[in-house]
Amino acid sequence: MSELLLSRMEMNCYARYLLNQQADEQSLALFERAIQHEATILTTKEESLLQFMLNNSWSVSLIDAATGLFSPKHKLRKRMIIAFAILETNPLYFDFFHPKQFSFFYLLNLTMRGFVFGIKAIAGSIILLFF
Amino acid sequence: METADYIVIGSGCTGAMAAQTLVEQGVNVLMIDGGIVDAKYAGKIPDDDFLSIKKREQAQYEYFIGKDFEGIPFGEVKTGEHLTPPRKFMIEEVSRLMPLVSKSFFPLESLSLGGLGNGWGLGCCVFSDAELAETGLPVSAMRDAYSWVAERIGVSGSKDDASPYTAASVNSLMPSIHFDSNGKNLFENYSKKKSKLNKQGFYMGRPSLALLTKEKNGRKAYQYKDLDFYCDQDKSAYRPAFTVKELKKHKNFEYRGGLMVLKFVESEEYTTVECSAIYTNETVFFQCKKLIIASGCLSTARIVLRSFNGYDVQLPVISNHYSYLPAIQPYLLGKDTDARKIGFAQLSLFYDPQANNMDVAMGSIYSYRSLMAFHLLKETPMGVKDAYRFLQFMMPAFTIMGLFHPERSSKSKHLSLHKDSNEATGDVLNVNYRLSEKEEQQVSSNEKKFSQALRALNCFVLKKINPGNGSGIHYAGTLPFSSTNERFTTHSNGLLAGTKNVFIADGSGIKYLPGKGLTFSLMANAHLVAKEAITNN
Repeated sequence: MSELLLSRMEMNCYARYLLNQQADEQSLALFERAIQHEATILTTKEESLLQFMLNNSWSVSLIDAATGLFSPKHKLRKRMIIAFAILETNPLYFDFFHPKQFSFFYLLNLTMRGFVFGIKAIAGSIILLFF
Repeated sequence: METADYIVIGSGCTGAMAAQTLVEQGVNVLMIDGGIVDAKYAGKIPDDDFLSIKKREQAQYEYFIGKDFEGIPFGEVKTGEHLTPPRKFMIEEVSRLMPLVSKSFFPLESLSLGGLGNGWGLGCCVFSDAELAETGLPVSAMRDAYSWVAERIGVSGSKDDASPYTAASVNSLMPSIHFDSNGKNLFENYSKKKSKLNKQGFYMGRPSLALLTKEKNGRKAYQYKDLDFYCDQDKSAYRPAFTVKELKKHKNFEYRGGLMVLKFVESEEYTTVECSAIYTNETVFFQCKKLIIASGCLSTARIVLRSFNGYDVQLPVISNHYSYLPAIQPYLLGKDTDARKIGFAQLSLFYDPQANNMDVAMGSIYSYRSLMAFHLLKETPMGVKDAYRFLQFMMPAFTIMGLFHPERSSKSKHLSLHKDSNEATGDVLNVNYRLSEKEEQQVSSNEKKFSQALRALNCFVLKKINPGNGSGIHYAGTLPFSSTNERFTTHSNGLLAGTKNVFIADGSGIKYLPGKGLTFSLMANAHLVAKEAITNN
């Protein structure tokens, strides 16, 4: 698979995961350029993990949780943060990133998510063990 | 060879002030400067507010994350990494032309037009008489000089509990900027609990800022666009480049950018200044009757050490220790953040346990929005998606305190210049900087006290971050004030010991750093040194 196609698939994967949307052309092009930075170039093992993630969309949230908690310098996490930065600075996705009013009860929702996050991180760490 | 009566090295806050004083006195002035400007982003940012740009501008990624993604922290965070893409020009060419080796000191230096003044947080503090005496600065002359500087640059502030520490006592003070919800909530809590906090040595008030709230000299009042880290089309925030631009209109002022001063040689008649062109490495010489060095403490040390062949000589150095205390005000959790956010400090909290305005530590309180969520995401121990959900909820309540601690010289804080043929300048500055155990305890104790004070204001510290020595961007004490005329010291009037016509107008002479904003005092001193250079024969 060509690098260009792979980077587009990766960016789209992050956009769907983060925003439930496809990434626009500008975001795809920017992501392709951004991941040329040496700090984000993947090793063979990391590439295998990326392939696994692209082929199994259910695993994205698990890998995201596991790298966030156990491996914050993981290159896939860095690449997801780059994708986030590109989407955050695109007016097309303004509504998602616009400050919002939340009820205080949203804190309960977040607490719940905190528990789920812990479970996802453990499950994700099992996936990471294979790569 | 080009000659001038007076040469000023550097266009930062001190160089600009010194040059202005000289030009106003009618003498001929040549300013030699690195002069690097922002060629990449200048004029690219629309004249609009942060949210409107976020909503409408397709090309916003260019200045928010950088055309070459330089705004995204890919690796380890170093000093200067926090600069937004439009501010990165401040540190261009520094690693090549100002090489510095250290395992314990990570300073920020600049070869840009306006120097580190381009990133100045604008805080204007005055030193107390006791502090001035310990720094070595002249007490009564500094009081007048503070007012001079305030009149020139424009200072806004309020008279309140923080006034003894800020520039609130100077003449021609403009009203403070308005609060956003973050600052307002905290200040209301302080007003309710101030007597208890005052007993503990804490005093809160509005900071004095070199930020206009009324129009002045063609500069507009602050417009609350929340783009303070990216641009300032209204020129409400003082930057020394404004002064240089104004000075260029005078016939007795000339500016030469693109040059880095290497050393000087003083003879009976003239002082010769040797420079290197930044991009061509061509050597250029200038001559002057009097030389005023205001290139920033570390750069000045390099110039003086080279000039006196002081390779391997150890000089002292001091830098305010700096910590960040990110915190949360629960009352604001989940609240729709107001459109009018402010990037500059909105409140100052001073810790003066002896109530004598000496050894004071200062906390500056900021809101967070326009620096984007992605910067914070990587600091969270969570997945990106979940972390952002938390951040969205927390962002309106997010409050950051930047904490300056007072600092003194010691044997474990020093620098030296070593020859190194691999470097463009043929030498490299080596810095060793270690706090003593007692100093570390003091820093830790101050952090604890500030955390407690914030807690009393219903603001809860999440984490203590110590970015490392040198990150406070306040440097001083390399050529300390002394009356002994020993080499590598400065007379109290700014004259470099062992010279007749070389003056130091930056912080090199200052022997003690109060835990307050330093720049305003440096500017006042630069004004005094320039006056002295004219009268001193």
